[in-house]
Amino acid sequence: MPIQALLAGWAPAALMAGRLLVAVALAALFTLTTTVTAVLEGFQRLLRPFGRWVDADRVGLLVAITLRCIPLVAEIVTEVLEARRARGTQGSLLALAVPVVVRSLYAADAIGEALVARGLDD
Amino acid sequence: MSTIVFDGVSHSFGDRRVLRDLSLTLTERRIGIVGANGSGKSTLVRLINGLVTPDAGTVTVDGLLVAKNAREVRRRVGFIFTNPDNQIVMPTVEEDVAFSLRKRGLSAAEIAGRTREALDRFGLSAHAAHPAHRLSGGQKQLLALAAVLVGEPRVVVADEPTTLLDARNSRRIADLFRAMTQQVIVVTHQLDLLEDFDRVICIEDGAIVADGAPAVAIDAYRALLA
Ligand SMILES: Nc1ncnc2c1ncn2[C@@H]1O[C@H](COP(=O)(O)OP(=O)(O)OP(=O)(O)O)[C@@H](O)[C@H]1O
Ligand SMILES: [Mg+2]
Repeated sequence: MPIQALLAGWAPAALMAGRLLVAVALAALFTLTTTVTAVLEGFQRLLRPFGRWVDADRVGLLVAITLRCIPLVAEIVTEVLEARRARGTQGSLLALAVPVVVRSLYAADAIGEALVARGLDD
Repeated sequence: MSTIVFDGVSHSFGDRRVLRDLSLTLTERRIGIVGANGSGKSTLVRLINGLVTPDAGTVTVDGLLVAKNAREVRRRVGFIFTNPDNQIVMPTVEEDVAFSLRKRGLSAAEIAGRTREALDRFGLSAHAAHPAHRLSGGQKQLLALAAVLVGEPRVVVADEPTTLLDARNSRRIADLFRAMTQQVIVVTHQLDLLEDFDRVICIEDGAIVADGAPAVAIDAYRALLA
């Protein structure tokens, strides 16, 4: 990373680091998801004694949906980076964060709608 | 077939009137909805399963008032969104299909069995345990369909289900719609998809401007665009 920073300036280096992070997160998710059902079942077993205070099913669902959102956000970040590059713009981290957050919120809205349409309205 | 009735429906977002005093009775097996961007198609079909509640007027499905019986209506009406990425809510393919079967009083074995059948039917069995985000766009839309149909809805509403797909995948999805025994209501800009439908409705600026056989309504729509 320091060599990258010297050669190309800090912004591309930061982007590179960001992309690496995303790649790592994706790789982690891939190994993770194959056993997600097992993890969720474990969760539910773990929470069962506390069934009076927490709804194990809901917590499991929350974890599953959060996991589902990781690749979605990763994809949004990638697309925003690509769009920036295509337009030849290079701005601050804030200029990157704003479109990412806005698009993530839209996606969250759409997923919320899908959850409702698919019967999760309790 | 189910009967879906819109009675004097109007709706606005802010001060923009999106639907204007619309009345419609839908009983046909395959119904297409066409219209320009922003004409109100999505808003119209979202009323059917209560994703949007109208400012005025009522929508009923088989006599059930959607605004009062949203949960029951959503069990009868499956909804396919344009972007399957937003419709897939579980990390893996089989979990996403199984998600549709929660809270129906089915045993784990029954859920697993039905999920397996649905994946088989849509050619996704080999991907059952894979992360859903690794599927191709066409496979994702197939998964969305599988996840909706596994719940055995009577009506399937689809808002531009083929817009993001390539020609082959969009033909595949169109063929699946053709083979469905359910009542189907499809919003689309791909007019050839509607050629053999029973009824096509053309919306312009929140009002119905043509309603009838596909050839008639599609011609009216083409004339509007010209
Ligand atoms: N949630 C919302 N908030 C505010 N305005 C909205 C909302 N949803 C839709 N609109 C507006 O209502 C109008 C009709 O939108 P709608 O999505 O029903 O059109 P459409 O016919 O589906 O268009 P398209 O072919 O582009 O999908 C548009 O002007 C749109 O901007
Ligand atoms: Mg629309």
